[in-house]
Amino acid sequence: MSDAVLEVKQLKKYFPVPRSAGGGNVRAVDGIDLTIEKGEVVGLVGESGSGKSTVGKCIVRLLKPTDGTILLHGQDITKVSRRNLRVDRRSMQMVFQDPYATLNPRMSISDIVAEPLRMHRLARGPSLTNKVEMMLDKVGLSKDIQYRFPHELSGGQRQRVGLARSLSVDPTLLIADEPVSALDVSVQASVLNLLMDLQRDMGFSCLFITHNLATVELLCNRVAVMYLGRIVEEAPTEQLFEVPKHPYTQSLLSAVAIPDPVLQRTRQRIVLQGDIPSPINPPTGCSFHTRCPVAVFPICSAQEPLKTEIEGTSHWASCHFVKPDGSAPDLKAIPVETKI
Amino acid sequence: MNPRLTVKDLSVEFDTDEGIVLAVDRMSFDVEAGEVLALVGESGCGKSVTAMSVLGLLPPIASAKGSITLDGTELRSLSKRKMQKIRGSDISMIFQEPMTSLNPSFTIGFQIIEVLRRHKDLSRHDAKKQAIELLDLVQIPVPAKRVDEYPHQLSGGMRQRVMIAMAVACNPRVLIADEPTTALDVTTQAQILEILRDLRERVGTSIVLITHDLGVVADIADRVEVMYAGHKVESAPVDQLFAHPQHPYTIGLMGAVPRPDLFVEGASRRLQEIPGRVPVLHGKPQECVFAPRCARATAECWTSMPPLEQVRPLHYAACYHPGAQNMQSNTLDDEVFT
Repeated sequence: MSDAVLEVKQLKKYFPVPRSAGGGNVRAVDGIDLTIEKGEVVGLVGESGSGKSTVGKCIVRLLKPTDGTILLHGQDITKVSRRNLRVDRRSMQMVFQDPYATLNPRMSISDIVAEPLRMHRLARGPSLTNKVEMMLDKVGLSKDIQYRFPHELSGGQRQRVGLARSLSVDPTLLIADEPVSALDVSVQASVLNLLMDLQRDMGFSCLFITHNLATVELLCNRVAVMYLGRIVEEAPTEQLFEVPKHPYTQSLLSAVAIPDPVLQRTRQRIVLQGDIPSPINPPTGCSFHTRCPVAVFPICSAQEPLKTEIEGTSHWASCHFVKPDGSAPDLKAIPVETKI
Repeated sequence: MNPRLTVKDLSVEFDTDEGIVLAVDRMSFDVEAGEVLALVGESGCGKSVTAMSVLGLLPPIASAKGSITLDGTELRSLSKRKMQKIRGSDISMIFQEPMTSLNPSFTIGFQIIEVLRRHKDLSRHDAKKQAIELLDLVQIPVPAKRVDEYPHQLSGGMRQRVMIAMAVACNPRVLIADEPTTALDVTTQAQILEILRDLRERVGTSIVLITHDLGVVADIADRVEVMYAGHKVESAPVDQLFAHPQHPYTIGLMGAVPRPDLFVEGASRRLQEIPGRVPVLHGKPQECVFAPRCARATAECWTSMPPLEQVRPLHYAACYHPGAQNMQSNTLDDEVFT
């Protein structure tokens, strides 16, 4: 049907809790569907405890999903053996958040970038060296850096090496899990620009996992918002930012501090109270009802909301009060004095 | 008006294996009563070292020079014991990583009570009562129950609120907040900022906010000091700084932040980059510390570190070519920032 690079269906990942600690399961990912088309950059946004990193790790099979299917180029990789997975891992690569932990400190930069090429037997000898130098150049590093070791590089440089490594095998899908969060602001800018350029140049699809909404707006074609293991809203980027429907999305957008004192101090802010509930014991009905400023009882705590698609768009949200005609709760309409 | 906290010509050096490292060079600033002063900069700019100097918490390899006065009292000449009395009660601090800053082996109640009983003459019973009131003040629900919980039972946002409770327990005149929201989710950040704003309004606490997040600065700061490589490079009231940034580093920093609210159809989405890296100084700089990375650097910039000079009312910059300048075409552009 589609020529989607990735199709995730009802993905679940539960982590069992030892009986001595109470038993049960941490429902990190609790049934998500996600599709990524060729050349598309999809943002997966959420805060801590949302399960977004777990989704990324399940897709590349660093974790074994508890349930659900993951189709890579139409093939189900959920239950594939480790040996066969190696082939798929060529088309699917990942970059991680911590630039200090993802590079083997005992390997030179050239060995690090060459590793996937060697593993997948894609190049040898002089052509391998060539490829490594080409990749380093592509990520804006001088080829002399190949003789250095990770500890000699800055966080930004290490992150570039991580990108060079992952992209050396020309993957069709790159999973980027908080690739810039650990970097200083000005360094983030250069790595984000690099990611934008590389994506445009090489055409890979990308799942961009982050809590930083502003970067999502910059890089992504579509955005999915996660809360407590589920996707609560998904839309083309511009629509999500302009007309967010789900109360959580609205709160999240409102919480982003704008670097403009006049705007930041005069705009109406929605401050969510409380903390994210435990994923071991998620709330009944809509998992957001415990913090939702417009929750209506009993429906919100009794019934799980279904996905509502806004007619004529590829924008949907899981909320009892979001209707196909696009009407949705407006959190900004709540009087400012009310402590929500 | 007499400022509450005055730091004058503070310089801090570290005696490391690789030689002397100059972390802070003649840093000066004032904080008035009830004011929020933001110290802004990226890693290696010296903002945390400055904060630790104020509290007298520098490690043994550091040596500091300069003056730090709190309501007229010179802190640097106080005895260890006198400084211990001031720390936690007149000046306190909240740190970036709430998990590593709270003792995992003791209940949060115990840790707050510890602060209270150290500085105030309170019975255990009264201290516990105050601890519960403090938890309520920082919006921890069901405080009477949570007071007996351990840090690992609390979320990151809650732990940060406990740290704030500990820091304000004795009504400090100055609160130093070192990256208080960096490790937290954006929705939790909004809550923490609300608590800090509330403190300033109700109690008149002066806050020194250390951060690299310009959004947080825009939200809560009254005045801003921008630091780079141990030096103050720009200083201004918050609206002035954002409306008319003068130093190329400040301008670069602002351009590096993605702005979904400024999106214009068809406009370039590239973020502004600052090439190069923050230098590690081994002695006083013989040129402008930012020159190696500056698009505006001229021969003059390589001869000496520019002094901090007034460029606009209440607005100071350490630059030989300050001003809102179009970085690409190198022409002056007054309308770059509106």
